[in-house]
Amino acid sequence: METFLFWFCGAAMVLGGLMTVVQRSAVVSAVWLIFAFVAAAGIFALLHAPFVAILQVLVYAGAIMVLFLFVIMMLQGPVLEGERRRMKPALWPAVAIPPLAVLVLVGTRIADHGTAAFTTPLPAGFGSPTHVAELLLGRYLLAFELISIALLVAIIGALAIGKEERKLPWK
Amino acid sequence: MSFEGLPPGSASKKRSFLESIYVVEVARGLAVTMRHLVGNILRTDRMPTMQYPEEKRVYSDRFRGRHRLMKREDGSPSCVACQMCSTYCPADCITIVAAEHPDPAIEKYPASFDIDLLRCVYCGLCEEACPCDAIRMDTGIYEIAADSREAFVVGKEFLLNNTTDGTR
Amino acid sequence: MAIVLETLFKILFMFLLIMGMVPALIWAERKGAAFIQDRTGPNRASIAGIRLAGLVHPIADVLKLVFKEDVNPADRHHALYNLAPWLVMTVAMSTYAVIPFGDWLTVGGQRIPLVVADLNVGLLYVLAVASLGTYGVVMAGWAANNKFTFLGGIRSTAQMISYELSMGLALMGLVLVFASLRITDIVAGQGELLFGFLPKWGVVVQPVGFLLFIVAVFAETNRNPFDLPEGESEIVAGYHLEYSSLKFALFFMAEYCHMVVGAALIAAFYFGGYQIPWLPRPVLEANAGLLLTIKLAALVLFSAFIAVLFLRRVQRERGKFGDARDREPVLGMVFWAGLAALAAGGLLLRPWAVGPVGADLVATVFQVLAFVAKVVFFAWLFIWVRWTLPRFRYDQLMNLGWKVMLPLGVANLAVTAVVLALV
Repeated sequence: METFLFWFCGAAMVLGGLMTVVQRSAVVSAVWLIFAFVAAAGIFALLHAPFVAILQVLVYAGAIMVLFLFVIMMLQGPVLEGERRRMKPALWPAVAIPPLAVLVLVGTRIADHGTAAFTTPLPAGFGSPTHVAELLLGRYLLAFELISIALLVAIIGALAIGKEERKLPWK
Repeated sequence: MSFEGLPPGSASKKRSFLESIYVVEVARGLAVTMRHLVGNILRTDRMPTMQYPEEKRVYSDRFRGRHRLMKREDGSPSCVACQMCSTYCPADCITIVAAEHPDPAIEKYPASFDIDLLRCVYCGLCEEACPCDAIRMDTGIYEIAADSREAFVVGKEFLLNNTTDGTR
Repeated sequence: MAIVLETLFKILFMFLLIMGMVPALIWAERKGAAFIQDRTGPNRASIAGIRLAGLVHPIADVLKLVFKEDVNPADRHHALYNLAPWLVMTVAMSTYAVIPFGDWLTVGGQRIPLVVADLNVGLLYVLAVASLGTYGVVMAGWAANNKFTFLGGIRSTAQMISYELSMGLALMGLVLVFASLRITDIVAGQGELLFGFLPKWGVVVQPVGFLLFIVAVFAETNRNPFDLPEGESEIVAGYHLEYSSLKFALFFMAEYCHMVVGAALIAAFYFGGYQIPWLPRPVLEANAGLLLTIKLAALVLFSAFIAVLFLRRVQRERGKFGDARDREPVLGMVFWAGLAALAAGGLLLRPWAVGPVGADLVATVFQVLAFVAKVVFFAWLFIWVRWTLPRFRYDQLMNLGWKVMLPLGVANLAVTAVVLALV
């Protein structure tokens, strides 16, 4: 059952990713991306990390993609077909770089440690909110706080740029 | 924030603290609606709604309903086709075709007398204009419905058989 | 295998509860709205001349929507246009998976917890599913390729982003108090007493959080003071403007499903879920016989009273209409008198002497009834508020969300944390 679910979620995720890139309409792309995120959450749940799985849906599929859709729709308006433009054949190999990179990473990991790292039993309470909180507010506290400061700076920067009075053609 | 359409003074009304946190005011509003709800459940029969096709509103005798044409004693229309009503009609809804009356004492009679009920504004000026009380609006009929526009143009025979008690 | 079967039964119970409440709520909405506005409301649909105060109308509505022509805009985005109503409905239904509707049910000596999925992150699951709820609305608005539906979708996203934060912050205060993200733990914690006499309900320990949460829930369900996505006076019917027939019916049903979800969440988080105040499970089981007797006796008296009221109507209104409607009070009298007789028959079975197995069952039934009663009350609150308050203006909506609710939520969370650290 778990194997089946894993392959199912994995296939769904790959399909979602592919369709995100292939679609011409930005809104449809975004919808496929949400699909891929939800499938990823399924994989997290299968990896005994329900907390991360729920956060994946809550933060990425829920909050961030809503913002994305909001922005895309504001800029694009009701159903519009995107321009038909072909990628330069010279750039086609670039598409293969991300999946290859992942393959190489996983491959070196297996070469170094063997498959034992994937089959060792998990400690009790792994992936629970308490476990994540202990790591986040203990071992990785500094990184966590630094990232939040960086995000705060980004927000203030965005506000500063957005607030600037621009010369509009009709003014 | 100010809005131009508002009456003077309404935008500047200062809300008290209790009003500005909404909660108390919302609770008061809920109490008002609940009072109406409970009151209406307990006294259903006192609600102002009228169950229309079963119950009908009683109108005054002066209510101007669908027109009728009056008859002489022999059953012919009292109308003398003088065209006063159709001339006076502000909606221009009366069409009369006059013809010579066989009785020399009476000059004319209406060969046809059509009223377009869709154009009629039920003002009652035709009643007032008529010199011989041949047209009246005292039938009390206000349910005027039909399936086609043509059916709303009623003729002489129809108007002669309209009666005061509301039946056809 | 047994666990699959019991899960299926629990899903079925929840499904029937929601699907049973939807037509009842539609009736309550129309009739309640009418009575609040001094009207009589729907009463024309009838079966063989019996009108039952408009209770036949939901059936007529369904028949109409099923047999109506499905009219679609020509330039729609086909896939998303067809997906949207199903997505809205699915999201509305899936929150129920983590809401407990009772403590446990003992079957064959085994305790079955009365919740479909007891996730240890159940509260976050609720928030996650709620955040997905807006996609159906946005897709419907965009895919129909109409400016009004599009504006409805845009409004829905903006509103969702603004109120999801306050909802999460309000719930975090609750998480601090009960120290768990598991909804069954939160509900179980609310069965305790505070200072020995107050039930430790969420609304008692987190009054500000409750206010924030209930406002956020109203915003998330797109119900009245916050129903800008469908604001009739400005954007016709908003996001579901171009839908007709069964697709529209799905949107319509999803709105009421959302209401039941919202009501269940408010009940579970802030009003003790299935807990009956001052009557925790052991007390319930110990006094099951007594409670059942009182309950049945009260039912007898209440039904008899209603039956007498109907009897008076039968006498007073004899031949009032001159058609089948004259038989309605008789029907009502027979129904309530039958109920009274049934309850009296139950009393004859000596309910005060139930055994331990029966006591367990009685306690479970009482808890489920308490939960359903709370859900019905809060579902009615949604209707009640809708016919009381006017709709917010868009700038007021944003001001309330960002300038009032968000700071209040943060303050509530901080104060809760400090108080809990000191105690």
